[in-house]
Amino acid sequence: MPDGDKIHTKLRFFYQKVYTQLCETTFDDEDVARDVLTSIRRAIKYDGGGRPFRMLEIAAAQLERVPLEPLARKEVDWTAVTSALEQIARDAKGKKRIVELALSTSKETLHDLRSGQIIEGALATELYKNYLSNLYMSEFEGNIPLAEHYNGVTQQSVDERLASIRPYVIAGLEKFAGQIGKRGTGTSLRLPKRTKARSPINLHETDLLAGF
Amino acid sequence: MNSFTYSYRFSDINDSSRYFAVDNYRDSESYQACIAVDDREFLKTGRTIPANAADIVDFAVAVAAADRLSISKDDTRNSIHVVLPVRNPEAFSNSRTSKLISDILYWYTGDYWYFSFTKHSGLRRSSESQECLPFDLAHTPREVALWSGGLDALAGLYNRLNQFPETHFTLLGTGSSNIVHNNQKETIVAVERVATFLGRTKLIRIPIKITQTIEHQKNRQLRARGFVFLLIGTVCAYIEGQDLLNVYENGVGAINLPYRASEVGLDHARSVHPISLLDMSTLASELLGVRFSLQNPFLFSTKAQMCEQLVNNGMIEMIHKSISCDRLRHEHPMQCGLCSSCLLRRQSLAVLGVEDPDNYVATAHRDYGQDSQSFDTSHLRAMVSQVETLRKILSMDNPWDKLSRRYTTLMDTVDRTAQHQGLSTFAMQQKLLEMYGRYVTEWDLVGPAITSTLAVH
Repeated sequence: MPDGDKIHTKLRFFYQKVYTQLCETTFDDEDVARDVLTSIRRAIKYDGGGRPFRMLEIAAAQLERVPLEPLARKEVDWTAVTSALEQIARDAKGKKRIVELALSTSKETLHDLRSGQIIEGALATELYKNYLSNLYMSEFEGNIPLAEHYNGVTQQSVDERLASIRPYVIAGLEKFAGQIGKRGTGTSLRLPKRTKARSPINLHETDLLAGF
Repeated sequence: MNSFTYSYRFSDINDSSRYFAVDNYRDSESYQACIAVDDREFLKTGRTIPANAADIVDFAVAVAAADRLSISKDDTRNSIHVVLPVRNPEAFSNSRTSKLISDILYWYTGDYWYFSFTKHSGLRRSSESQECLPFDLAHTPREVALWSGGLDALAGLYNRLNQFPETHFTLLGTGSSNIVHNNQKETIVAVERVATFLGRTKLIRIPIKITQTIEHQKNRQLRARGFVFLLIGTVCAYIEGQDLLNVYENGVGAINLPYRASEVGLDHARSVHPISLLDMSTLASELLGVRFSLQNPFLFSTKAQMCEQLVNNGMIEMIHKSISCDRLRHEHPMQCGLCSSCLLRRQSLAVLGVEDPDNYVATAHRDYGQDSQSFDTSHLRAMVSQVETLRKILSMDNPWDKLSRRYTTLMDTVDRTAQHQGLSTFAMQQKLLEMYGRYVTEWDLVGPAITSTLAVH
């Protein structure tokens, strides 16, 4: 029953600046997306760095055992696999919210395997990618206030802007997942290269010495 | 260094206040608080409470106290150690039962719970020793249900009273709030005013008092509340000679899906979630040594569906007696009208054409000179956002696949509880899809009216 449900109404401090950028038209989509990625990187570090990824690595090993052939899949005790994932979460170190998010990511991947979806590449990397995407949704996109926005921007404009930055964010998170897969750690993640070069500063239009 | 974050050492739990020791190892703080449980109303069953049932009450009360005083700092998981004397320590200490207890409490609270059950001194509570009047109820069909005094409990009872005209109902209320305690009584008095219901209900209230804690920080989330309520309800059903405890709760509220992606894990309570009821059935059976079940007959109904009979029969005054709010106030209007519990209530009644604006701070604001702009509309916006998500998913091909991918708890719920519900997995999936579809349609009918009262656009 709804019993003191917790609704999040504020963005964590990592994301507040990038939210204001999102609400201003002066910032390029890719720049905003890169700042979102920077914020996610800081949040990961703050929340214990590699901890959720270690848990996901163990969950991936558990999920590797799920047979992919349709006939064998029919014989799987899905409740037992779910229980095993829950036990992995219970044994994992870290904040409640982070562990729950990693557990729900593991269950989503279990759902995909169960419905016969073929997962290309390493399962652990797929889990890292899905986790980072869920982290982005829960901390930023799905946590942006639904009331009045900064700078008087409408909800529709915010939604459109989120849709514009999303491809850049997702591509960046995939890069992060690849790095975590290779190095086995969630620290020192590098941002992807820009898709376009920054526009050079036009010395004729900008008075660099203004104020001096 | 001690590996526990909190330790609670209880002496025998009695009708009158007894001290228990609290050690908060994280903040190096130790103090004593008081606890009492007044379970004399169990004597209304015409039976004294047996030792195994009294132990379950003590256990529930100890968990309530520990949950109230254990604070999660920086979202870390607590390790909570409880030392509790019980009459039959073996029943709680065997490895299967103790694993079950810690598993269920982890599911409810996200914390690690450890128990040491010691031998009780043998001093009995009034409920265990008092002589009671002999009742011969052996041939009266009886149903036992939890009684919160909320709208779901009322609507459920009303439906069951009509559905089973020969059956008598024992209703169990508990908690530590005097307002709720009184409201539980007032609502049942209103029910008994219906001629055909007269003499068919029996209210048993078991107040839990945790005192001497003013100076100490409290846990406001109380995620073990459902666990405590269900255990005491189980004892009530057991004393009444029943092997079943009913919980009347609409399915949307019972499953309590997150509204937005920002809500994760225990942000939403699991008080009477179908998985909770299944696991509590196993625990109750273990502790009582007999097969025992907990069930929600309204798992596939929306709140509006549950309230249909009440409204169609004109029981509006009775509805107004019930209270749903999570942020209850002492003065009128007592309910905020803004929390998710109030909003679901308002939505369901609006669907049935019932308006009760005077009952909420949010809608009575004109009389109170408040401006609707100043209200916290975050719960409403979040609920509307969930309705949009559900609408989108339910309109897709293969909606169950999409729905259970977005909300994996639904996949677990069907896997684990379909059999307990007496359904095939496919049949349960269809019932859930139908319920959420109806819920979305209901919001389409009344959503604009509710949002307009709060100036949400």
